[in-house]
Amino acid sequence: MLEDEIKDLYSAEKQLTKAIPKMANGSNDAELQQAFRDHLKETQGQVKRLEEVAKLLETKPTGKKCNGMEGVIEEGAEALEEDGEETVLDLGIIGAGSRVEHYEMAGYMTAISLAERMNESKIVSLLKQSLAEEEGAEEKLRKIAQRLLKAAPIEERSN
Amino acid sequence: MSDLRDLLIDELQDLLSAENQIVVALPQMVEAAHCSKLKESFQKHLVQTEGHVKRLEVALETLGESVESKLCKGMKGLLEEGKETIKDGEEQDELAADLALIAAAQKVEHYEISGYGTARCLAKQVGEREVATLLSHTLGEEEAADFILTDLSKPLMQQAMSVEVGNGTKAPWGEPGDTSAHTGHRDQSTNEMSTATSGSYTAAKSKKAKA
Repeated sequence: MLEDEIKDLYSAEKQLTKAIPKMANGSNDAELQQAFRDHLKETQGQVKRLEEVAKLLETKPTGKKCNGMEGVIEEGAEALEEDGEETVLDLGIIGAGSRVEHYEMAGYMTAISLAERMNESKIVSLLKQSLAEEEGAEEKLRKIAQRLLKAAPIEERSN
Repeated sequence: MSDLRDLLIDELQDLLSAENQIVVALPQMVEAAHCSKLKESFQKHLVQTEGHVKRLEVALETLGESVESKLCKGMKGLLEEGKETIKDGEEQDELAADLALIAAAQKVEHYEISGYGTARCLAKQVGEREVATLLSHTLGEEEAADFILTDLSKPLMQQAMSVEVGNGTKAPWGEPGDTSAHTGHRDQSTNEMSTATSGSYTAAKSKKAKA
């Protein structure tokens, strides 16, 4: 089951290495663009870690397609296609990015608890590094969102 | 997409589609689950999910919008993966199949938690307090569902591992929240992680009290 989860995560991260540059190019805010670029580097490192984990499990990380991430990324592509006000669009992209991060966090948490039960401490520590990066990326997106939310047009206040 | 209100409406219509898809998928999860507590928890979450649909309808009406959904492709992908999990589970032993179901369900929960976190934050920003309150209620239920699934997975995982090493010892069923002594420390750290990631634009939620 751990092998399965690792293959799934590997497929997800691989898909992300292609999707994140699009998110970076599609966003308007400079800090947001930078956040995506930084996370691209982290994601490439996460791919390497998963390859290492697979090696420790004496298996290959390839061979499974993560349909979940495919759907989540498709939805992100929709956010990139929207027209409108720049800060509002950026917030839409952040929303999509945040869903991606949450999806990954759930996957890593499952993998970590499986590896812990199997006493695979080296794998646990590799996966925990990636989980921490995902959480950090989400945190960064959240901070940018808070700044953009203040700047974005509201239209009307009902109270 | 010219203002935050547009974005909020878009987000609500997306969540409505996601919840409607879940209402269709959950009975299959109930059917596929072996452990009776897991079955029961999916069944309960189905009832809650029907309530989430209603809340979203009320939220859209409150905003003066027609109750329409916009296909949530993200959830579609997640549920496709869930279907695969159910299918694969037919050839697995019960414990492994149930654990895989839990993992799939938690991905769904996390996805929703992120969506509701974003929507609630937008509702607050545009001053729609009533809508924000509705979304808060649902967000709380999604977080609780995730928490319960983590608790349910613990005894199953322990059992699965003891079967795997073939020592013949079967871990006793624990009540949710009741972690056995030798794994207690690690369980706690996992729990903290899973509750600390809730809500997307919002600050990390306060840690839930341990059951």
